[in-house]
Amino acid sequence: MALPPDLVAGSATGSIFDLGYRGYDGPRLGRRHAISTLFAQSLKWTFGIGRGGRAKIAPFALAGLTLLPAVIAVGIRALAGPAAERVSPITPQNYLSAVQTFIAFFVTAQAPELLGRDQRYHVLTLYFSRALERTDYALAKYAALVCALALVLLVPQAVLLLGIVFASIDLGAGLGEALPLVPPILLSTIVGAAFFSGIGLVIAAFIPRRAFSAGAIVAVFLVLSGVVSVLVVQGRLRDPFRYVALLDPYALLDGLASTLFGAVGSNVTVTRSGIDPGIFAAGACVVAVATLIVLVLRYRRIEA
Amino acid sequence: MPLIATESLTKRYPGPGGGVLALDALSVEIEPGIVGLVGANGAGKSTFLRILLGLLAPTSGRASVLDLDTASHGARIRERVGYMPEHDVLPPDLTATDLVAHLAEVSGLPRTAARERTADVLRHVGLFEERYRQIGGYSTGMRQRVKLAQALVHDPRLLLLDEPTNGLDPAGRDEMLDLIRRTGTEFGIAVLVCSHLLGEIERVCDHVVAIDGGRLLRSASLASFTGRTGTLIVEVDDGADDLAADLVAAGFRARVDGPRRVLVAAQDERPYDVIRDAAATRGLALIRIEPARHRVEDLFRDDPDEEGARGTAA
Repeated sequence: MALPPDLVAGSATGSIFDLGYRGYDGPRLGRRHAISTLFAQSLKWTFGIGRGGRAKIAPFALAGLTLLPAVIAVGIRALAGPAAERVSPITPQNYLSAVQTFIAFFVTAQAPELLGRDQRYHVLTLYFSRALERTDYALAKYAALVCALALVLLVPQAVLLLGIVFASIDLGAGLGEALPLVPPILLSTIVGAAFFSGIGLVIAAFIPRRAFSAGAIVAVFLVLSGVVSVLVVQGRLRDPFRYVALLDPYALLDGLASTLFGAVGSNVTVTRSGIDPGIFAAGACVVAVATLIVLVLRYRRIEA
Repeated sequence: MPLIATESLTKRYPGPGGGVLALDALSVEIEPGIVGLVGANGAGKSTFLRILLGLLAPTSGRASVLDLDTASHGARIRERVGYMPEHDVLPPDLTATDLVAHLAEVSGLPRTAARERTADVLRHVGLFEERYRQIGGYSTGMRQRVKLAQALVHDPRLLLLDEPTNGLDPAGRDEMLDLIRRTGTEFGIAVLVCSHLLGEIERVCDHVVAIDGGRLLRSASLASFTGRTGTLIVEVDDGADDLAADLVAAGFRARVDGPRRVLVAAQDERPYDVIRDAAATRGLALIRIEPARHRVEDLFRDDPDEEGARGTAA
């Protein structure tokens, strides 16, 4: 079919429709839309969605590994019945401590992805020249990683709770046991996800190269917790010094959970330091807030 | 009301020895149109743009864009301004479509509108099937187009372009300049183009703002810039000395520039005839007579008569 000549632009190609430039008169949703867009994109990015197959391996493998203990615990409970309390090592009360290493690895893998890339390729310039403040960027990225991590941790805990409900003799008793656990689960997971994410993001914000920042994050989680627990357990530290226990991120996580559940924690740093678990819980909250503040300040100053 | 207005805008980057003074009490008003911002590297062009976007706070002075103060209304300015940075800012692991659509949403467009405008704008800048490939595999020309597309995608009222032809080959340069010209004329978007190449500014702009060392050198229409200097480059096969002597004898300012070139100050058309006659009389092989092109350096000469004659020697 012959086209009217004025519709065909560029005689060299001859097949491109040039409809002229069209302006945009639709709504402009401004800064809040900018923040929610960045948040949603970062959340998807954390799980490798929209990034091709290889980017999905790490987040989904780690999500699978955090789910595994819950599935095993439910299986044991189904076989052993109510006696499982004594048999199964995994309970809602100590679940976060049971998967602490996977949480650390998730943050190690994803925090540099979320921040380092935009710095390395100077994408920040494109963000900050739009309807987005620097603080918004930091908040959106922080919220995205916290949500991603909370999601990864809440699914297995939901499985644990369902296991309790359905393995009980009658539904009423099961619900009676499971429902009071919901608030401490939510709170400990969100605060725990926040301070783990915060540590990872602050490190990633200062070290744009992925390999280096991932190394630094692993060092903080694994080496710091290892060194501190050795010091606390072997060192017989006296008073001001035993508070080095608060530098162990795993101890903070365990203290947080045991405080919220009102249960005895499983972390040796907490139990052997003789410090009240509530102080560890407070420490976790302080780290969550402090890392967010450092992140915001970092992005106020960062060159873009 | 001007599109951009600055009042003794000063920016000093901290550093040893008092730091670097990037902008020195720059006051200028820029009206809508296609405006060129010319200056040598380090003249303060990029700093100027970044202050206009509210990305950088001035040390003193103030600036307004679209009637909004940059210090207090940065976000609202950025919502209606498109910025094409000088350096590479594109993540290699996204496709042009995904990146531009995402940035359109960050600019405040709803999702569907962002997708539609992305397709429109990428087609406008001349990216077709490539837009579904990852940017990492793009040529410099394609990257520059993506950078222009992301600046245009939210239909800004003002486009700030920082060295848009950086790294392009001559053909890519021509296409980019043509795109900028069309953006300013057909799309009705005001454009401020930064460049250190006056030749490019000449081709696309109506108005030129020249800065040097952070100070305003001149702000005037392009015509007033080009009307000022007249220098002819005359190239002969041999006997440049003789030709220059003849021209000086005829009352022109002329000097030899290299073994085969003579530079003649020409305020009107008279030198052409004299050159022709002199060449004919002496039997010189006249290769070309060409009006000298402006260069950015020419703008920074103090003496307007001297400037053309020396500028061409570079």
